[in-house]
Amino acid sequence: MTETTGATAPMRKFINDPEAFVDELVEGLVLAHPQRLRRLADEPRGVVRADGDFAGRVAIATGGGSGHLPLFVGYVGRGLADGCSVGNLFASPSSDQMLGVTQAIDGGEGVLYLYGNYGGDRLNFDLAADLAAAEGIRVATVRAADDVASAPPERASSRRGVAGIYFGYRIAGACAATGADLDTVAATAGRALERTRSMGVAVSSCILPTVGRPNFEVPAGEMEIGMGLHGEPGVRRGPLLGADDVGAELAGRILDDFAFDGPQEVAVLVNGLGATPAEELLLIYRSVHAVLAAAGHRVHRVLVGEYATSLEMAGASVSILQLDDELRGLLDADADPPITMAG
Amino acid sequence: MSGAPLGIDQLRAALLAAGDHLAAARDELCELDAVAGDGDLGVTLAAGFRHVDAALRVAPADDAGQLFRETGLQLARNAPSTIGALLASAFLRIGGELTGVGELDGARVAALLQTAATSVAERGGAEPGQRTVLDAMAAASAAARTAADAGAGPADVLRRAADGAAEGAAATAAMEPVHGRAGWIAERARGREDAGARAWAVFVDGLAAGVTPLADPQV
Repeated sequence: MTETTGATAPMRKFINDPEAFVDELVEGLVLAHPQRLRRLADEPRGVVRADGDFAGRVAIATGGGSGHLPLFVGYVGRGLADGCSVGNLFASPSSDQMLGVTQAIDGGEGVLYLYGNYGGDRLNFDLAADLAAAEGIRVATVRAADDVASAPPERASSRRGVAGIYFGYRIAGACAATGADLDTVAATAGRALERTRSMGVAVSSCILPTVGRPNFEVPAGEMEIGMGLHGEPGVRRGPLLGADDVGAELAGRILDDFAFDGPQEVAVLVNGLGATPAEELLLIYRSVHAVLAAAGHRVHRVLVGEYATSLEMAGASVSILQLDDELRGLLDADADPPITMAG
Repeated sequence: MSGAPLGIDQLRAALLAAGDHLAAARDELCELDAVAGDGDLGVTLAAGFRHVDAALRVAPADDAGQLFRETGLQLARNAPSTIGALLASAFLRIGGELTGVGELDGARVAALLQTAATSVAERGGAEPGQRTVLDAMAAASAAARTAADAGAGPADVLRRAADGAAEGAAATAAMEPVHGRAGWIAERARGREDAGARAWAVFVDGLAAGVTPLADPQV
């Protein structure tokens, strides 16, 4: 008998043809939520709000690679985004898809592109903006670049976007609903994301159905602080710590990056990467809360759950938004839940 | 010593010839791309330029800008890839700058090659020396600028640009990749030209070949 190696072990996944994975998940999504989502007739990976309520206000388009639900398509909803281009696993959608979504949701007041700061997505959204402009549709762009692990403060604009983009959807969606013009919606969402910082930790990898084996390895008993949503290297690898220490390190690194000059009012998002249970996320929040309280910060709103995942990766991230009066009001506006939490 | 300016039909012929050259180089470009990427760059560009070809032949081009815009639109739609998106953006931007322009002199040709390099640098976030298409674009632009400043006409500017692009592409063989997947496998890529840079050299060479028969032989 030969021993089965990890590389050839069968995937413990419920899939069909791996190449059909993305199309099938989008199909399932719109079948499950027909009141909220619909696919474009000529662009099956373009998903827009089913109620078509775009007229007379700025519309919000997002998009990105699959494998991160509820990010990105799960944020198409009331008070969030109006349309999404769905890419292959961990890969940017095409500019053509984005143009199709842009045309479908433009209500005459222009479209905000709100997405994560990754090279392929930037390239295609920028090109889509060119194509939209050629058709007379005004486009503004805001990118989430909240992952403090991905670049030092002096290169903050090159940081990757992670779970903190959720605050961007809430703020942009609420701002657009007030009837604000495109420049205002873009500036407000941009300000919210500039005031958002995130830091993650991973304890295991994920398996892309099309690849069939783990993308990378985190040895048992270890964790990687700062690892990206696609397994990008983090800031340090070390022994797996308890929830108190993990929460304190994530919050501490975020607060160091903010370098606040006094107590602030904040919103906090504790996000699971796919395989970490809500129970453990609450333990981490408990620790984050203690760090914030000790520094005198006031927590206005807390979100704990799965907001930006990486398939079945085990791990968590913490995002903190530094509020002001305007951002607090917009964050308090009503919005649909992420699609994975919608009933 | 300035050559005759390029009219719309000559420009159209040059763009068609450039597409033909890329189609002919398809396998070579795929082979170069396979060293550091997924090996489909030649196929992607050949497919994109097939659509460009069909569109340019029927495009009712009143101005040079329209030809470049059409080229960009077709690549955006039919060459989905990093190189396709970068080139599409560049051609759309050139198209915008040439709106209403009916003739290209040497300085215009140098300017559009500069616009291509600027667009790719901004959109792709690369700098010269990082083993990307930009290395060929910057070299082509610099050579074209030198020629145009010396008073060369458009055909000669394109020929000099093609030589510059070829040199720029050749230089990538000795460069360390920084961007994209090529950054992961530096050793394998060493000694081979970057596929995107080679593609730009092929493209500009095709432009030059497409106008040569009509160029002023005095230049």
